[in-house]
Formats: sequence, structure tokens, C-alpha cells
Amino acid sequence: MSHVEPPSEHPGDGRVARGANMPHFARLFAIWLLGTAIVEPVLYFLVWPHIPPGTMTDAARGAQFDALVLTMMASPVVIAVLEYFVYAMVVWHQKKGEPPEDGPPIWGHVGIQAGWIGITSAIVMGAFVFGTYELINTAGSGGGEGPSPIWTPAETNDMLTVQVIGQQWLWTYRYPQFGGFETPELILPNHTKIAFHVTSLDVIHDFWAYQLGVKADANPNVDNVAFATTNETGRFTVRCDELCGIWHGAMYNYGYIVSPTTFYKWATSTEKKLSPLTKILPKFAWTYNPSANGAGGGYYPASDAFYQVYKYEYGTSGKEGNLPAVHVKPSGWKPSQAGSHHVRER
Amino acid sequence: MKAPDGHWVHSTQWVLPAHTRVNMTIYEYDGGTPLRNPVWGRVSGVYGNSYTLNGTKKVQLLESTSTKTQVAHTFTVPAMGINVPLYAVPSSKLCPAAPCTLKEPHETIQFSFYTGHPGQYRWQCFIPCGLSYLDGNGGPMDTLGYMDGFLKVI
Amino acid sequence: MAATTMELGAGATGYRPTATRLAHPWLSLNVITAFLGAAAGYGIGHWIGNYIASNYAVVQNTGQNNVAVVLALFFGVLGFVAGIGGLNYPILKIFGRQPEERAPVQDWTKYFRFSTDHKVVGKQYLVGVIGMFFIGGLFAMAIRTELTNPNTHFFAPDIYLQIVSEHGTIMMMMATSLVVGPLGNFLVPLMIGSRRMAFPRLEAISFWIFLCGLMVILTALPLGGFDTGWTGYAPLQTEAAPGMDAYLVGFGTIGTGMILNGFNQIVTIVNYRAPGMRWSRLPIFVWSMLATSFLLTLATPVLFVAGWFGVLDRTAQTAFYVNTHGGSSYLWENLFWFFGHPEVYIMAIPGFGLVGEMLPVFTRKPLFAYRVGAAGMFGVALLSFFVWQHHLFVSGINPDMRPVFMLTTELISIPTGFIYLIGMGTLWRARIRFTVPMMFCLAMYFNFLIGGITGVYNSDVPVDVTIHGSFFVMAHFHYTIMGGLLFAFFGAVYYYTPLFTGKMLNNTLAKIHFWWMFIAFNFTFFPLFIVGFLGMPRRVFEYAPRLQVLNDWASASAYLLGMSFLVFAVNFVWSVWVDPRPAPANPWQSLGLEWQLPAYKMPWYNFERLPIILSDPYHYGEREALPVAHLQGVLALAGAGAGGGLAPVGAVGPGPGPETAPPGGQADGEDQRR
Repeated sequence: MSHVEPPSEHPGDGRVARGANMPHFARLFAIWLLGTAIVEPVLYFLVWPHIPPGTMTDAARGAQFDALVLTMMASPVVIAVLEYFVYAMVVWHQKKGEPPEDGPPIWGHVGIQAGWIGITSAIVMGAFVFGTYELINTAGSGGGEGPSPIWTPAETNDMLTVQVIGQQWLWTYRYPQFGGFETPELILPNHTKIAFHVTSLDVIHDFWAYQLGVKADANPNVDNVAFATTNETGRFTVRCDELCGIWHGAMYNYGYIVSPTTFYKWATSTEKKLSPLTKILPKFAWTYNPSANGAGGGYYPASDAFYQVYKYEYGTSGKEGNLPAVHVKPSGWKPSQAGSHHVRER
Repeated sequence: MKAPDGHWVHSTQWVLPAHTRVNMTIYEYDGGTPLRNPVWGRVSGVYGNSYTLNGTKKVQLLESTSTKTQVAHTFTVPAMGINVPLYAVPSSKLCPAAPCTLKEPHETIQFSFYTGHPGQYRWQCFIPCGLSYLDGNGGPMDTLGYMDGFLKVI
Repeated sequence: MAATTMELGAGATGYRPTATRLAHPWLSLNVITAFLGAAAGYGIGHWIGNYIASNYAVVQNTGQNNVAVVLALFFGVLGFVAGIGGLNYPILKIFGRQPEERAPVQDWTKYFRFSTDHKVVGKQYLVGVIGMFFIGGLFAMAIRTELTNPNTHFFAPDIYLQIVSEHGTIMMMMATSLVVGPLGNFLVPLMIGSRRMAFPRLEAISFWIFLCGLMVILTALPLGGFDTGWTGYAPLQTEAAPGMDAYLVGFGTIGTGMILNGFNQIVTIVNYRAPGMRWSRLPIFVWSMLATSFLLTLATPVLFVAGWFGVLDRTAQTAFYVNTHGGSSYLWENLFWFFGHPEVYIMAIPGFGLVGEMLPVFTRKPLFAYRVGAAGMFGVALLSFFVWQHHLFVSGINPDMRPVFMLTTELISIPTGFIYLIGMGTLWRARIRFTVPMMFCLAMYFNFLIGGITGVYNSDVPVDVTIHGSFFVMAHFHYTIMGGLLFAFFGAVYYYTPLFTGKMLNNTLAKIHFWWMFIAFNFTFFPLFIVGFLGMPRRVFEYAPRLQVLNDWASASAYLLGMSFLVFAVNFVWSVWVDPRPAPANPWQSLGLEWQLPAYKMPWYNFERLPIILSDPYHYGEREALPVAHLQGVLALAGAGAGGGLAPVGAVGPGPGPETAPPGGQADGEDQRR
């Protein structure tokens, strides 16, 4: 919008020569075009493969691609703004030796302002539409979706369910399809859809399997589900990403993606080895509510009547009723069920 | 542990030689409470995945739930895979006031582990033993020098 | 409004009340009695807490009495405020006595008293925020020291978390008042042509409460600290040491000050504008104060309530945030970020306003698209209430709402972009003068560009899954708050010190400070984007050894960044007290109303006659333009300077704006409202 004050307040407006603007526009545009033409191919061909978090799962690959697209959208904007500021500083400063003088009184320009709003809105809407598409297309893109995920992988028949239990200050993992054994080791089969069910026994943790592109908060009494499909074998890092107390910084370990047959061998042998322990564990459930008496520290009095009712309802039986049945695979998982043909190519 | 000046001092930060078998003896004076996660009832990461209780009994798995409380604390070094649940003294026989002496009722727990590569390894207890803190994980559990510390392997 | 009418229509002599001088300045209430009051209050609170709660099972088993700590801190704050004299007026009113209205004390002790002069409060705030910034900065140095090595530790892990938490909390508290406190209180009445803020007692009390908040948060250290970071997530909050009580009471205290200050600003800006100060003539900085103040007033109560719930959970054992007892750990996250995201704009918008105010002066051009700039600030403020769940994209909360919060978050970059539009438009064919304030403005645009663009990465859910809670986020908000707000703030300190003190800061030292700070800042925080993207979570004391080189680089740069502020401190102390050089009147040849009279010489009531505003303050390059205000020649005027285009104000005829009342007589208080 142009300035709408009474004209008497701006008697100098008429001094602006219209033709003075064009050479600057042309130069700025040329420099911008050149910069963009150099930067964009570099991003696409050279930078893309190195963008974290890599390609170990489809979720990680989706995040990598998304980061590339955002960078390619942002680069022209950054180039334009930086270029403009440098140009302005070089060309439009008060020269030494010249008498100090004021600039032309330009109060606004309807076209520039409307164009600016239009362009930024278009970029923003583009980023939003693309981000939403990627979010839904990769089944939540590895982020925790709460107890009732609305974006799930298309086929869930051969999915491996892994329960991630955060506690101060370590992660343990339960494999319900293998008798529900619990271990501090995280081993996953390649070319398999994985459903991570993340929960906590005490405070809020955050399960971050960095190279898998998976991150989900572990809240007590909440089953937070995240999906990923494994693509490559190798080691990955698991870190706690939400401040959870003194050993938060040490709450990390490594997981491995191995071939489906190796995984099956490991899982069945561990199931057998840990069976005495599994017997004394609580029955597998999506969330756990450890006894508040003693182990809970006794912050709240144990005679709290409300607490007793609550424990009876949820503490041992879990919350299966809240979950879509598709995520519950009580039967065992076999390597033959995993198929590389499901893996989404980029 | 033995300080450089030859005295034995109380500390939760120990310096250990790398690639060495360490024999450890723990005197346990405390009563049992339920484990927040019973998975820590299994002995692991030490020679034989078991320890010797009071010189005779071999222990591999302890149960600590609201009905059966056998574990007082655990000695757990996550990065080394070590987990040793410490057998509890029956609550009727606890020594009345700390510091307790060897004349008071206690359990003697002996095991060995291999230190491996140099580094700083934290250890902690996995019984939430901060009495009257929410979830039992405040207070001593959240302060260096009580239920946690470092193994400095050099 | 009889009094106001009398003030305005004071006839030929103008408004000239006599100043008060206390007979016994050391016996009356001042900062010493305030500390005595705080100590007494602390003792009383502690005693009450021990008396009523010593039988609690929790107290007996843990030996920690949160009730006593909370009450001690609360009564300590109350005692401090009473000791400084902040409660005199309400107490006298309660007992039915008409309090004596006295002019503020005029000697140097006014800086250590409950002063209702907005210029004194502004200076008190200035020292307060800079001191707080330095304290928080020392904690930052400690953090970077710990992170110089991935697994050799300088601090125990619990001590490290206390340091991290103190740094975050102090800096957040400081940044909420960094501009609204000192510059808002000092400048807004001068810019809108008012004799005072609308509620001078609230204004004064907001500063002393702010100071109490800092002291309360520092008491966390002797109380065992708190290990939750500045976000204070429950239920970790519920099981933490008594230092957590200091966090909750501290935020409640600071929050009270923020609400009062914001409320005061809104009322002042709406009601106390001088005749002729139409909305379209309001300086852009005042617009930014108005937008910020709405956020302060509307968002902070949510924090206050959330903190109160936390206090109840920790003392009366309610269960607002404990899932197993019917509460929810999500509740704190929701409430905290419902406050927390408007809060980050409380910290960003004032920076926009300052830059918008300084750019026209140093480009010698009108502010480009002034209305778009004001609209941008309000657009940001409004949208900031609809984005809070982007902090919770992986928490499992409302997964179906993620696209909505992604949209609102990205939409906010449109009004933020307006700030770039006004900046870039103002630079177009300008006559840039590379003074130190201008360099800070340009640096702010550079830093905020990086901070803003990386914000889009955070708003995009698939990318956020990787960078949420990592050093990337940390670098992002340091770029926006420190790179944006703090650079604008330091620019403004260099710009306004001549107005505050009548002294010029040393230009060479100022340039050294700028370049040192700018380079060290970017060297510190840019690598941390990469560190975060490569997988380093926030608030950890151990990290992957492969990230050590980048971390060491950041640590070394952080020390340099810390040292750069010593240059500023030396410059400020040297140029203002040790070897003062008197500043020329209006050294930057600004057209702003605040520069037309020497504020450091002004009486506490600013204007004997209220100025009549004739135009907005951006008429650079217009030789025949009207002056910004008709000052009626009451005080000696600052020269307009070379090329300023401003004719000497006193020479201009009465010529009031179209809807302003003629001077004297008719204009009364109501006429200031538009």
C-alpha cells in the first residue's frame, strides 16, 4: 500500500525519479539467478546423499528428502536476502567526502508489498503441502503418533512389534512376538516394517533412534507408536532426547539391524535364555504401572483409594482395548514374512 | 576404595585398570523393596552370569515384586552390560542406624567382572530407593555420590 | 479527571510541581530495607512451613520440606516488595487513609528506591537486565567448558544439569524483559508524549519483582538446584530437589512482573498518547511494545497457573501432572508451551521494533511500508497463540493435529517476513550511515535470517523428527533470541545511551565490540546446527566423540563471545562514569520525538506542556515536512542537524494537526484517547 497520509505531510514525494530503480532491479535479479543456478544443482547432486539421518529406514530417507526439499526452497530466499543486504551496503551507503544527505522519501510501494506477501505465502503454502504429504506418505515419518496412530503403513501383516520401555536411566526392549522377553539390547531385522511402542515407567523420556529417523516421547502410562521400515543392515545410535534427570546424558546405547535370519536366530535363542526372567516380568501390556508402594518411593500414600481402583483397571491388564487390533501380533514372527519388495524406493 | 595416600575412603567413583578381571565384594545392609522393572532381577555381565551369596549360594535371578522382595539395590553398569541385584536383609533384622558395621546382619555378595576398554562408565542402582520421592527416583538416586557413580577405567 | 485538566491547562507557566527531598534518606525505605524485609519474610515463611508440614510423611522421610521452601520464598518476595516501599500505597488505602502523593526523590538515591519516575525505572531495568545477562552468561561458559570433551567431565552430571537449568531459566527470564523493561519504560512515554506511564506504582513494582525473580531463581543453587532445564517438564519436576521450588516460585514472581509491566504498557499506549499522536503516527517501536505487551498480559497467566499446579503437586501432593493419579504429564507440556511459544515472540518482537526504529535514522529514509510492519508484529503476536504444539510433534499428543500446527507455524513466517520487507524497502537507494547501531541492525537481519529459515525446518514434521530436542533447535533459538533480540538490544544501547545519560560511548570500542560479538556469535552457534543435525541431543554431558571437533570449536568461540561483552562493559563504565564525554544533542539527527528534548535533563514529569504531535517521526528526505511535534518552545530544543530536514521546532507556527485540540484550555485527559 502506498502512504495514505494527507499529502501536505509528504511534500517531498514528487522528487523520486521513476527510472532510477530499474538498473538496480536488473542487477539484483541477475546476481540472484546466477547464485541460485549454482547452489541448487550442488544441493541436489552433491549434498543430498550426505544429509542426515541417512537411509537406514524409509522414515530416515523421507526425512532426508524433506530436508533436501526445504533446503532447495530456502536457498533462493536466503540468497536473495543476503545478496540484497550486501548490495545495499555496498551501493547505497553514505560516501566519504560527500555532504551528508537524506535518501529519497519512499514510503511504500503497493506492487512490491503485494508481491512480497504473495511470494512468501506461496512458499509457505508449498512447504506446508509438501510437509503434510510426506508426513502422511511415510506413515507419520517416524514420529511418535500416540496410542491410536492414524497414519499407518499400508500392509501390517508382517510387522515386527518392539516395545521400548524408558526408565531412569536406561532403555529396555520387549519383543511380544517372541514370548515378551525383555532385554537392554535392540536388534532389528532388515527389510521389515517395525512398530515401536514407546512407553515409560517414570518420567518423560524420548526414544531417538538417530539413523532410523525414529523419535517418540516415552510418557508414563502412554503407548506412543512410531513406524519405520528397515532398509540397510548396520549399527545405529539410540539416545534419550528429553531431559530425564541426572543420567540423561548417559542414557544411550547402540542397536543393530541384521538380516532377517540372523535376527530370528537371536530372538528365539534369547527368548529361551531369558525365559526364567520373562516368567517374573509383568504380563506383556502396552503400558505398565509399577506398584507405587516402596518401589514407587511412596510419594503418594499407598492407601489412596483412587489409586487402587486405577491400578486394578489398567495396571496389569494393559490397554489393548484402546489400540487397533492390527498392531497386536501375538503369534511369532518368522523371517520368511519379511519381504524386501515392500521397501519404498526413493 | 583405597585412595592414593593409602587410606580407604568412601566413594562412588572408582578408578580401575583396563582389560582386567576385577573381584568385587559388596556388603549389603539394606532391606528389600520391589523393583520398578523386574528385569533388573537377573544377574548379567559378570563371570558366570551369577554371583556368590555369603560364600556359598550361587545366585542368578532374584524376584522383587510387591509380594516377594529379595532385592535391596542393584549395581548396574549399563555400558558394560553389568547388572547385579543385591540380595536384601530381611526387614526385621535391619541394623538400626547407619553406618552399620560387619557385626550387624548383612549379606556378602562376591562376583568378578572384566573391565575391558578404557573409558568412564557410569553405574547406578535400579531400585528406585529414594524413599518418598515420586517414583523413588529423586534424592539419593538423583545425586552423584549416593546410588550412582563412575567407574574410571584407565 | 480534574487533576489532568489542571496539568494540561496549566496556563503560561506549564506543569511544574515541586520536587521532594527526604529529610532522612537513609532512614526511609530503600534497597537495604528491602533486603531486610526479604530476610524477615524468608524466615517467617520457613517457620510457618515447618510448623504446618513437619508431620508430612514425605518431609519426615526425605528431610526436605517443600512447603517451607515455597512459603519462605513467597514471603521473602513479599518482604522485599514491602521493604522497598511497594506496598505503602495499598496498605494505607486498606486502612482508610489517603496516601500522600509525593514527587519521586530527586538525588542519586532514587536509583535504589521505589521510584515512580519512568526514566529512573528504565535505568534500573537496564542495569538489572544486563547484570542478569552476565550472570546467565557465566553459566553458559560453564556449559561450554563441560562440552569441550565428550566423556571427560569437568562437572558432575547433576551439577551440570543445574548449570544448564540455571542458564536457560535466567536467560529466558531476562529476555522477556530485556527490551520491554528498560527501553519500553524509558522510551514509550517520551515517544508518545506522555508525562508518565499510566500506572507508575505498578511500573516500579514490576521492576522490583523482576529483581526478586532473579534472586529467587538463584536461591535454587543452595537449595540443591533443579535438573529439569528451563522447560521444567513434569513429572521429573515433581521428584526433583527443593531447588525446583525456586524455579516454580521464581517463574511465578517474574510472571507477575511481566503481567503488570505488559498491562501498564497497553494502558499507557492506548490512553496516554499526546494530542495528535494518531495510531498512524505511532513510532514502530511503540507498536512493537503494544504487540509484546498483549502477549505478556495474555500468555503469562498460563505459565503462572501451570507453575501453581506444580507447586501444589510438590507441596500438597495433588496430582495435576502425575499420570498414575489421574493427572497427565502432557498437561504441563501443553500449558508450558501455550505460554512458551508466545513467550519466544515476547523476545523477538521488541527486536523488530528497535530495528524498525533505528533503520530510518541511519538510512536517512522513511520507514518503508510502515503499516505492513505494524501489522506484521500483530500478525506474529496473534499467530503465536496457535502454534504451541509444534514443540510436541513427537510426544504422541494429538497426532491428527500435526498438519494444522505445521501450517500455523509456517504461516507465522509471513508476518515475520514483513519485518524483512520494511527493512529491505528502507534500504532501497538509501544513504546508509555505518554507525554502530546501524551495524547491529544489519547483523540482526543476518542472524535472524538464519534463525528464521531454520525455524521452517523445525516446523516441518518429517525433518523435526530428526532435529527435535537436538542442538539444532538450541542453535535455532539462540540465533533468533540472541542473534535477533540481543543484537537489536545492544544496537539500541549504543543508540540511546546519549539520551539516557547525555554521554557518548566510545566509538572505537563499540566497533570492536560489534565485530567481536558478531563473528564470535556466528562461530559459536552455526556449528551447533550441524552438531544437532548429526545427532547430539540437548542437555547432555556426554556425546559422540566424532562431534568433539565441532563442539570444541563452539566452546572456544563461546569464550570469545563471552569476552566480547567485557569490551562493552569497559566501554560503558569508562564512557559514562570514568571519562565522560558529553554527547551532542540528538547525535544521530533523529526525527523521533524522544530525541527532540534532552531526556537525561528532563524533570520526572518530562513535559511542562504536553507536545502536540504533528506527524510521524520518519520524514527523512522531505525538506518541507512538518516537524514531528509542536513543543511550544518550553525547553531548549535539540538541533535538527545537518541534512535532517527538520526545521527548528520552535520556529514552526502553532499549526496543530487536524484533530488536535488547540493548546491550553480545552484539551483534557479524555482528548488523549483516540
